[in-house]
Amino acid sequence: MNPQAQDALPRATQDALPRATPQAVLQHGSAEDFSVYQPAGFVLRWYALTLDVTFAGPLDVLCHLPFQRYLEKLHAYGHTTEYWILTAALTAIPIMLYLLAPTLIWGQTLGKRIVGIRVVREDLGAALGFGPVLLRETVGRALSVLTLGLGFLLVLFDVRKRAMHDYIAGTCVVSYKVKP
Amino acid sequence: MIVLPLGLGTKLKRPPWVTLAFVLVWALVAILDGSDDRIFGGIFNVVAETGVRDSARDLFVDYCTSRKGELEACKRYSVLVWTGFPGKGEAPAPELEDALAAKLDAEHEAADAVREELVDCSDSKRCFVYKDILWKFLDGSRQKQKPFSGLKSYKTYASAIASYRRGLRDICKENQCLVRSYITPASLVAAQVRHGGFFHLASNIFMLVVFGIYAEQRTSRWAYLATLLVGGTAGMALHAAFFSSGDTIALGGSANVSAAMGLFFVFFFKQNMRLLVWLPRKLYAGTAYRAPVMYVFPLIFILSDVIGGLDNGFGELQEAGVAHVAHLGGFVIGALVAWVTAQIFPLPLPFVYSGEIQDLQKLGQGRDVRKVLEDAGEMIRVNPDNVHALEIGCGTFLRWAQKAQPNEDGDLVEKGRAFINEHLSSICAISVRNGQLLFAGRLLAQIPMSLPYRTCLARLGQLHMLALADFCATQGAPILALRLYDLFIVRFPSSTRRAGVEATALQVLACLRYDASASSALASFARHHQGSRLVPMIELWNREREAA
Repeated sequence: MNPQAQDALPRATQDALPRATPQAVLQHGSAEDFSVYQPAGFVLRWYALTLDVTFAGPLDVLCHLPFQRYLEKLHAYGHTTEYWILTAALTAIPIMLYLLAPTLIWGQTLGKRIVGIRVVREDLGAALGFGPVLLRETVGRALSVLTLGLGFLLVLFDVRKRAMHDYIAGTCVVSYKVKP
Repeated sequence: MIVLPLGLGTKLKRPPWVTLAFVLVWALVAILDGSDDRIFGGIFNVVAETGVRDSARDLFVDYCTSRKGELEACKRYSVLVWTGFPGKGEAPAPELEDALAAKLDAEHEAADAVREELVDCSDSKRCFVYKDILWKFLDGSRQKQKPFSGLKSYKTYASAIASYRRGLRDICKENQCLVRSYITPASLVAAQVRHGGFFHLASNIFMLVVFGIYAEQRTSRWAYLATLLVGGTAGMALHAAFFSSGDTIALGGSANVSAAMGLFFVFFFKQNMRLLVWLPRKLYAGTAYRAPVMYVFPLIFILSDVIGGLDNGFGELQEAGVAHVAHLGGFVIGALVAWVTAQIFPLPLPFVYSGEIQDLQKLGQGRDVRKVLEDAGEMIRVNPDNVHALEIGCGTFLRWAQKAQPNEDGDLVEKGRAFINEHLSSICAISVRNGQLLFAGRLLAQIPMSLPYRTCLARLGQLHMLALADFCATQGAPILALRLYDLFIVRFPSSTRRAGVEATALQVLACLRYDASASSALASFARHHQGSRLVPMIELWNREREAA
């Protein structure tokens, strides 16, 4: 390579070099094109859910622990509204910690990361907004459960393997396997 | 849905003698030690002689009625206090008489029924009142300021519990068991080798084998043994002296297991461990996933002990008493020792631990490409940071592919491509992270033009890709750099850096010297990258240089 080239090169790319940390890469993965990956199937997603339940369970218990007696007292004395509000708030904290934040930042919870799948937008863009993630993890999941699990089973029959909460939030889940 | 930890899953490089010795000692003690019967029989007798159960129940009834409980209900709930022990004067053990055994069974059933009723009070105010009384009573019995001292039955109870504790101490002196009033070196050691039953023993052996054998590979055997003993002893002493109720004996090797887990956690902090996830898809076996140790440990093991340690609620009424503080103490000591060890004997970057070096040498000498790929894949699954295994695997296949005839062994080609698709991105990312860009550059240079980067580098992030491309451009590999720039433009079409990258690619092209090799390489590039944004530029370059 001639000396001119070395002078002329870098600008945009050299700017990038010092910031080449994994965190930066994760954040900048938002412009990635996910069309090369296969959609994630039912079994993979089920495994991820199992792992997530295993990890989030203790967090949930930890949040409830200091308020356990107070909650029971509220319930027993008939303050049902307060009881449900407090329970919902205490359950929401670990969900916020465990489900929403990682999904929003990386598109993956820990269970999904282990299994190797990722939530992306319907049009296979990576940048998920707060709205869709909130919708997916709260209302969407609740509806999937309330339909006696049919929302989850939808993955088996859908062409793009999307569940009901994916349809509601306009997302889909891809597996980190390159399409053949 | 069950999730079981299965350790690292590496091959062991030396026999885990210390771990096996622990297992052997535990098993032998469980089989040969006859003191269990003597201890439990003795406790039964002491309870019967001192009448501590009856006086504790009387105290509860008193306490309950003083807090506006109904007498009948208080008597009913008092069955939860000291369940499973005989009342005053009922001389029992070591083998229970039939009549007494039947009586105790009936009492257990009654206690279970009451417990079930209390666990979910839902919106019954009455139920909650009694539950609250029970909670406060059990809290109070653990406190030292004697909250029951105003009650008339307290005197009887106090003398009964004092003589019970004296009796317990005598039993422990005789049989070397660990209680708060008798903490000696001998009782501490004896407590670590005895277990309370088959499941206690089995679960401890399982956890020690799962984590201990790997921790033992990373440090010297003596250090490992010392850590387990110190961690176990300190954990048990801590529990017995400050956190046990004083009425129960502490036993079990859980604190030693926790020390081994502490070692494992720190030594393999950045590695992946195996988790067996069992789901009804396969009834006979689950699927093993690799999960990062740094996340899984805090979420599953440490948190459960923290929760157990903080639990001031209904756990007290459940009969299984777990020494959470002993676990935490053992864990902290194991983790500390491991941290100090890791400071004195640091691991190189990328981390490849001693046993893997032999494997790598063997892998490098391998001639069978298929076998090399399989072995390398297995090694990477165990330790994702093992760049050498990645390099050997990818390099072996690429060298083979260059020499191979077309249509030769399609199965192997497919396998090799799958391997490259899966691992080449991570090798590039790791080498950028560790500042060893030449490492990845050497491999990338071997990829034939007919195999576009966009299939084999699908998982590489933007900045890693740019770092590599710049490195190639400045180190005199412009064609390689162009291929990477092309990949960037294809993979990240909406990136904000795209314009800059295109400009840089154009500059690299402009500075390329016109000779036969460059020209043929670019022609090959254009042939295999139809539709690439760089192809028109290359054609322009060709025309300009030919004209010049």
